[in-house]
Amino acid sequence: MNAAQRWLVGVLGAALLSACGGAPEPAKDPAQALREALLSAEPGSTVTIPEGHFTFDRSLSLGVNGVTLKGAGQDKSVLDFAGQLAGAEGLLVAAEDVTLEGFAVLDAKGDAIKMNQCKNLVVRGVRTEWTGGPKSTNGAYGLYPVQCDGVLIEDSIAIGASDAGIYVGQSTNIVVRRNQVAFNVAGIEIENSTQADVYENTVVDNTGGILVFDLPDLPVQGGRQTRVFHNTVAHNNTANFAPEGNIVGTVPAGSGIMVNSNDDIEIFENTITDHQTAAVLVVSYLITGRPLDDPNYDPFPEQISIHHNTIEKSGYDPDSEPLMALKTAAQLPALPAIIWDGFVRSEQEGPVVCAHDNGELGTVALDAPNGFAAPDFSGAAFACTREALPPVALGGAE
Amino acid sequence: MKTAGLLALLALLVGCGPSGPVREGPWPERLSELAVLAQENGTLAPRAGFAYTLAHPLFSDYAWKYRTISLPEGGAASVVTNDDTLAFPVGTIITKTFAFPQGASGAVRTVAAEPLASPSAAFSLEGTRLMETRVLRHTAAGWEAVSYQWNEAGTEAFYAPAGALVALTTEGGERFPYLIPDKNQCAGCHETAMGTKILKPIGPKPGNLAAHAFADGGSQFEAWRDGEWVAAAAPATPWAAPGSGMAAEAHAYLDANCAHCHSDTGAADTAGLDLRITASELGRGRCKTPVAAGRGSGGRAYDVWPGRPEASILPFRLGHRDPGIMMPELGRSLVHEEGVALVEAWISAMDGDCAASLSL
Repeated sequence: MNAAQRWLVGVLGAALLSACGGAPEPAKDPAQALREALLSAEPGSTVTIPEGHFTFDRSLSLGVNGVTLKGAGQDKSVLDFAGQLAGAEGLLVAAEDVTLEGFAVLDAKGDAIKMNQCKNLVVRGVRTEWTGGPKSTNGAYGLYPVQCDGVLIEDSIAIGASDAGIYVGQSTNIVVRRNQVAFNVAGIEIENSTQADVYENTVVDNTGGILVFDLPDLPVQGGRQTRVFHNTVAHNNTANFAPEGNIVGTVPAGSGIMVNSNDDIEIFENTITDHQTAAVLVVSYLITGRPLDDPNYDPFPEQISIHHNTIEKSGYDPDSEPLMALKTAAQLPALPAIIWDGFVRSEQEGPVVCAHDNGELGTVALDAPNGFAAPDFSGAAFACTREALPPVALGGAE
Repeated sequence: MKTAGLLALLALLVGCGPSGPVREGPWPERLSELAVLAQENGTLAPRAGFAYTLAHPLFSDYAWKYRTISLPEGGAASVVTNDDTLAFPVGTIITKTFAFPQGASGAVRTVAAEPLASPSAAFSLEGTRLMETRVLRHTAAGWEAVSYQWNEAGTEAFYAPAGALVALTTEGGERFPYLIPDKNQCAGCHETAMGTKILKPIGPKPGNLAAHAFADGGSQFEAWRDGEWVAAAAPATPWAAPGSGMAAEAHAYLDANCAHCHSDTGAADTAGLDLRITASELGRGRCKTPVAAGRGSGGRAYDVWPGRPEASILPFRLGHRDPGIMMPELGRSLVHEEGVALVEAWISAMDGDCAASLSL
């Protein structure tokens, strides 16, 4: 078809529409207008959300690459899903080079904002919240990128998720910074992911503050190389309200920073205050007692470095039967601040966890593989240092 | 497009009546202008092409479905594998019309439809409420998907890229929102390899087509071969017959209802649960602990716990109506009781056990 024919077809097509008449255009409410703007967005365009409180009965979704979705602020442009009848998330993003900025998603029935298989994602100044306080009937995740390459989450707020407030799963090249994260089961969780920097976040009143996990039976494994630094992690003692059966349901209340089976983790220069179980917990997936059928999975944490953290008040009322038994048996007012379960692979050479310059609250290696028979409070298991990990380079996103 | 196409458009313009199916270009505002379905004498019938059915359909709140395919002239589908969707030529249009049988009060009846008798069988509209017609169109740029929403009178359906929720009530007095998917939600299921932005049909897989026999006793897949709508040298191996009560029937049910997301490439590959008919028992969730299930775990430890459906997550999520818990995530508001029973029976009959779990 040549250009003239294309033009003719276009003209005829337009004439056809006007001749036969389209559906009558009903007046649109702003929520419907936003849905349609997301559906018809052009690549590279900006979709704006006006100031206001907008209610939705079903999910929103964005499937166009390069779109910026921009509101007037995380307390000004509010997308309210309390009356949601359909859809497993408030907003679903399935596109690359997307920026979400300046709005809030409240009371979604499932996840608040899920971002599946993204690249170069930016989330800036976004709030996800369940407004009824911490409850097991709240949705699982607040900000939930999964299988993404290039994730920047900054200056955002995540409150009330029954799993994790900010959850980055099966992704690479991640920066999570300057966020405020409270009253979730897990505040921030980096799971089965590689190369993450988690810094300058304020993480308070969750069950567990910052979690770095590697789990089996997932398509993306081998989580490693995460730096957790310059965060304020305080009184994450909220009783675990995760629905039973979930892995975060096993997190003891009062866990400041927790590493599960991940490798190459550096935890430094954080302020970690008031945690009833432990300031820092390092465990193997084996401690969960769950079966392990996945031959590709490495359940042992390795090359963990914990240094120069400011730690106060820890381990005074551990939310864990074996830890409470240990505290009682050892006749201690509080357990040491840094706890490692003691699982090592048979061919392991040298220490698993290095810890130094973390104040006076001490360490313990639990000897969990032998039924907690010979816990070591001497610090010998932690006496080593490691080279600093390199920072994450995000490319254009920063 | 050749001159013939222009003339066809010109004819359309003059008479406002449909000629051939609109296989390319902008979506018409009205379904009748797409010219693939004919509504006459109280029935819906293929205007171009033929009707088909699936032995194992996707459950959609007990809605009755009338499916048609219009192939471009001289075109035929080809078999990829027995268990994967047929490859259709460019120009193909697939439609699926959703309707509910209605009682006198206007309440919808949640009963099974009569099986499709033949490829030319029309769909009787008597006593039914038409909801929507979902259309898949294979253009030169790839498959496109959108739904047309019927007006309440059931006289015309209109292009509905933003979808809708329609409040319905069952004869039992249960109120439920019926979802007409928006364009992205269409893609959410039909983009079977997440991230590719490539849509494809989900339903018409040879094994599923072949598991249906028409009124004359012949296999649907054989009818396709006879009609030269599919280019296949060998017959398809039918999936387990509905009602056979075997594990294979549950596998077919899970494929039809779940595998567009729960595969090695689908939107749910993040969960590591594979519900394709070709999956292994481990892939299908045997003793698999939940990862990102949230409330969907229902306090249960494993996706599938052999012998213990009451402790397995899979039937819990299939049996739930809360959008934050239920599976599939989208496309139903009611529970498919028969489907849940089938999955529970499959798990009950399964040998083996999972370990009781502990924690720190």
